[in-house]
Amino acid sequence: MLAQISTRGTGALMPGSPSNKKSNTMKKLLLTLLASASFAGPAAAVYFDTNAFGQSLNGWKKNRTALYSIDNNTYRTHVPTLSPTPGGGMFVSTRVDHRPRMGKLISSYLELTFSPQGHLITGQIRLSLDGKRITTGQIEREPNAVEPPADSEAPIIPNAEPWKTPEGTLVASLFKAYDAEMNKLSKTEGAGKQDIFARMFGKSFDHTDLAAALRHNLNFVLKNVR
Amino acid sequence: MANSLFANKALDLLDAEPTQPGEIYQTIGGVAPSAKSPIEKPPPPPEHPAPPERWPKEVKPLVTYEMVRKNPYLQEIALRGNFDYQLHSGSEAQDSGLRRSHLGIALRAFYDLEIEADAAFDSSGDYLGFETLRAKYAFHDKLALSVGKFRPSFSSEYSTDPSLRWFPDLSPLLAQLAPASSLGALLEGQGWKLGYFSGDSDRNIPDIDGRGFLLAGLEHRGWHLDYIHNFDRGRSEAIPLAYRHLFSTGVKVSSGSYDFASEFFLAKGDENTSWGVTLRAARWLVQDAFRLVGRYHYAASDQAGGILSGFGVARPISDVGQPFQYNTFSTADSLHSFYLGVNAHFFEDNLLWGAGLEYRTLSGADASADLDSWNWSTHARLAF
Repeated sequence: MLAQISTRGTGALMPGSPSNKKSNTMKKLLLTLLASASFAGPAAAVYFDTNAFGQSLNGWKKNRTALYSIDNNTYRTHVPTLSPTPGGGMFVSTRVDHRPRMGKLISSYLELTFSPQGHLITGQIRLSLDGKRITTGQIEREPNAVEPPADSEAPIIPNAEPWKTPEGTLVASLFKAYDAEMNKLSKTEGAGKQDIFARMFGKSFDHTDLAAALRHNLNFVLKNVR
Repeated sequence: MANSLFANKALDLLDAEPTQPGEIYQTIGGVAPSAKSPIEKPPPPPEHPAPPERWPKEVKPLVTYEMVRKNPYLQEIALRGNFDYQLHSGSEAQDSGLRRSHLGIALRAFYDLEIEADAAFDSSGDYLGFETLRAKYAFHDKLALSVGKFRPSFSSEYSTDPSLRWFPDLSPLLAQLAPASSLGALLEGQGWKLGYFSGDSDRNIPDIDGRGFLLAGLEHRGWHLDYIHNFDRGRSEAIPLAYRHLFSTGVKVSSGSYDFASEFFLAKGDENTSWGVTLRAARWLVQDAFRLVGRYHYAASDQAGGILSGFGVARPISDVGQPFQYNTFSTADSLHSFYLGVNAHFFEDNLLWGAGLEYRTLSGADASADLDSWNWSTHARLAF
């Protein structure tokens, strides 16, 4: 039961211009309707714009995948699957495939849970590489900062890193765990053979490229959650 | 008053130690458990991989297609091929041609059943027959059953995929005694195998003919022991020269950039009993790119002229039937062979060029004096 409301396009209306006066009246009417709808429905409903997500990745094709290239490597993202979580939130999962020019397909799975307000709560990356399954484990969002009571004698520590939002920290932790798992793998696997071609031309694909592609996917998912 | 209090607080803050990056967030809720451990720097690629990876049995597939939509009937398709062109120049034979031309397909279908089909072709592109037509099902990690036509996994050298062998061709005695690709069933466990194969040999699918032969093998940390019992004796088309018992045992050792394998063979028949030893050594001159390879091989027989020695390029049909298929060959009582060469790995094991020099000496060759020969060989191999 996800609310199908999109607010795209309203930013284009410039108040004050004569042609927009009628639009402003319409806007007020719409807002009233929206407000009444929000009172009638659940307190908050998270919405994921699948089409906009697809547009960020060259658009969805007939086989429900999007094909695009990043740094001269081709990737394919499958249309995400959405489901409501018991608390009124949303679970989004999608599969990102990397198809090397030669060799086996590498499939990665992004699994994200959102709160009813659209906050990213948990994230997980699963990967199937050379028959081995790798997972970052469920990375959870940190609790919000608790404001000290106003009459507290404790010194107020200014937030030295205001850019460090809990959402950003979750994403950073997720990819930190991803890197840790990949490093473990490269300890056991023969990481890239240095044959004659590799020595002459270098390897065309590195696992760090895949991390970047996953992160781009995650950013676009986050952008399209409302 | 209130203003002075705020001013004091501000001064205290200025005097206090600056907050370390991340301190605020660590005191708030802690970092996610998976991200708590410090990230180590990515380790440099291991200079020499661990021994099991150094002795692979199959080449890495390059052309694979995994089904976008998962279904139980077909999960993955891989196109396979092996093309080997050789040039031999020696005192006994001047020969060049396509040693191997295989094209095949491997499927993972019907609930993870592995199906492999490899067809062999000659240099003019004519179909010769099936080298492999096998279905393999792994019950779990430690037990797998293979059924169909395939190369019986006898001896570590013969059971290694041709696209991974260090030398242009098999050791002379192994080419003489190795069983043909035949119809059978093989049960493989962790460190053991047990199989039964038909005694028939056919370019396509052999019949279930005669009493067949039994294959049993043990393997433990690089050591192996393989045994074949041929129930058909002289009537078997799969086991050459009416051998009744075939043994193979040897070890594989790796250290640093060196790899070493030794193998002892014994083939016992009613008329011909042959034995021999192969010592193989390889050293990476440039890791993963250039490899120096050497082989010493000795073979002897209790029967006069009981050892066969082929010269030149083996015919492509040798992969669908008996391995010993040479245009030029000689018989001998015993044989010594020394090979030294360099393999250049352009793309892992998939694209390789090799060149080597072999000195071979035969005692009692064709019931006459000894025969000494120097052979220069070059081969280019593409496998995927």
